[in-house]
Amino acid sequence: MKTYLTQIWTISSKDIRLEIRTRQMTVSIIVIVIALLIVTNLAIPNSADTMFATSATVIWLCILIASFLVVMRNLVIEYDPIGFHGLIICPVPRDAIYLGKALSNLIFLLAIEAILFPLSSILFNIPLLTLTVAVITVSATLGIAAAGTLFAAMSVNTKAREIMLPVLFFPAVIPIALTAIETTQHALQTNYGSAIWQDIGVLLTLSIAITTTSAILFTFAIDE
Amino acid sequence: MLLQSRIMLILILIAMTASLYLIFIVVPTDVNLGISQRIFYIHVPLAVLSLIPPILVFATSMVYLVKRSPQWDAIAHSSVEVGLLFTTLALITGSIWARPTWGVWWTWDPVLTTFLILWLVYLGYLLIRSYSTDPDRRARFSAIVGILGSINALTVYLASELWRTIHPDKVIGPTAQENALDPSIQLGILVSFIAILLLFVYTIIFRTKLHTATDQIGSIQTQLDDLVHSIVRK
Repeated sequence: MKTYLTQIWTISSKDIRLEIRTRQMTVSIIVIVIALLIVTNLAIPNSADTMFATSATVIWLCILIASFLVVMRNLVIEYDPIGFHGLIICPVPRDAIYLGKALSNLIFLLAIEAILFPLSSILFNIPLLTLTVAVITVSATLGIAAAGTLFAAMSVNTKAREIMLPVLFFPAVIPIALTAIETTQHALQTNYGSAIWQDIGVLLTLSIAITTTSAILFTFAIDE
Repeated sequence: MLLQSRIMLILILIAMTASLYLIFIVVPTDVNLGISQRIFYIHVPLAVLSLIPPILVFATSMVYLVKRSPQWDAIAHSSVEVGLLFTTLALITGSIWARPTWGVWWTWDPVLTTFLILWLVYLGYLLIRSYSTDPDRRARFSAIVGILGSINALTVYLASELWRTIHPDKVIGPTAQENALDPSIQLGILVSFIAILLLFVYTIIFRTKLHTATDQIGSIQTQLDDLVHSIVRK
């Protein structure tokens, strides 16, 4: 078990180390996300009645676009067939490769969200820095990163890889995104009470189901 | 085989004619919704049958990934094609019904939204097939998309059950209220459902045979090409 976890961490730490050295992806995506926040905040009228619904939607829209860019970037890193072949022939189980890549995607996304949420809290003047919002964010991001990693691995082996990834990725993560938006809205309402944990349970179940299915299916996605 | 196909086509024709007769001549016009309500007899069977392809795709894709037999891939492929057709028709007929009923062509009702997601998943499935050149990879990738898409379809069902919806209460099916409908309306729905179900089954069988034949031709073509290359080399 320890060896298996070490293998997963070795694969994801490779991506993290590369990112720490270059700082290309996170910085560019944070800039894009801030620009998106500003544009959507100015474009969508925000009244006291719709404040929670609008801000939750805008934030999750930003996260979805950031997720696409993160998995797309991971796709570009593995674009070189020799590089991807190198990863495949390394003596670790294929689900460990998948979990390693998914973990690095998750860490990148959480790093982006760690900046996005305090910023959104200030810009929208809403209480986003709470335990419930944090649990919602981690739960939803897990499913999004898991689905994105699988589709990135598949898209890299098709003719139109840049087109195929968004075509597969966005419809697959819509259920998670919709549930996350709904749950975040409820979490922001102070009168919603403990029913929020039931919503979080649905979101977490959905994310875990997608992560487990993706990990199993990844072994079939890679050529023998 | 041709005889069976012809018998099925004749059955579909009879059921369709009976269904149209019932819809336009026998069933009473709805007091509140008027003549537009008659699209209900087409829309409901289409929408219900749109939920069968995800189950078929899930099961056949799983079997394909385990057994790697092209026949299962052909069934999954046909199910997605028929599913896309039925979902498209369900969305269009639903829109036609929504206009006089809700005053809009489209509303972001959870049922409508999730059907749209299902439609997008079907398109993604067919796109990944067309963008993958290697037959084995094409079948594997589409099976993966099919399995994950079926999980999305489960969300379609859960959404209609759990989320707040403006869709009318169920008047048919196991969870419907008893005696919710006039007997002539019940007969209209039943005949229409049988007609569309027959069409659904026939289309899936027809498309599966077509895909199996195409795969066989492709395989023969590859063998012939290899043979020609080996002769040229000699």
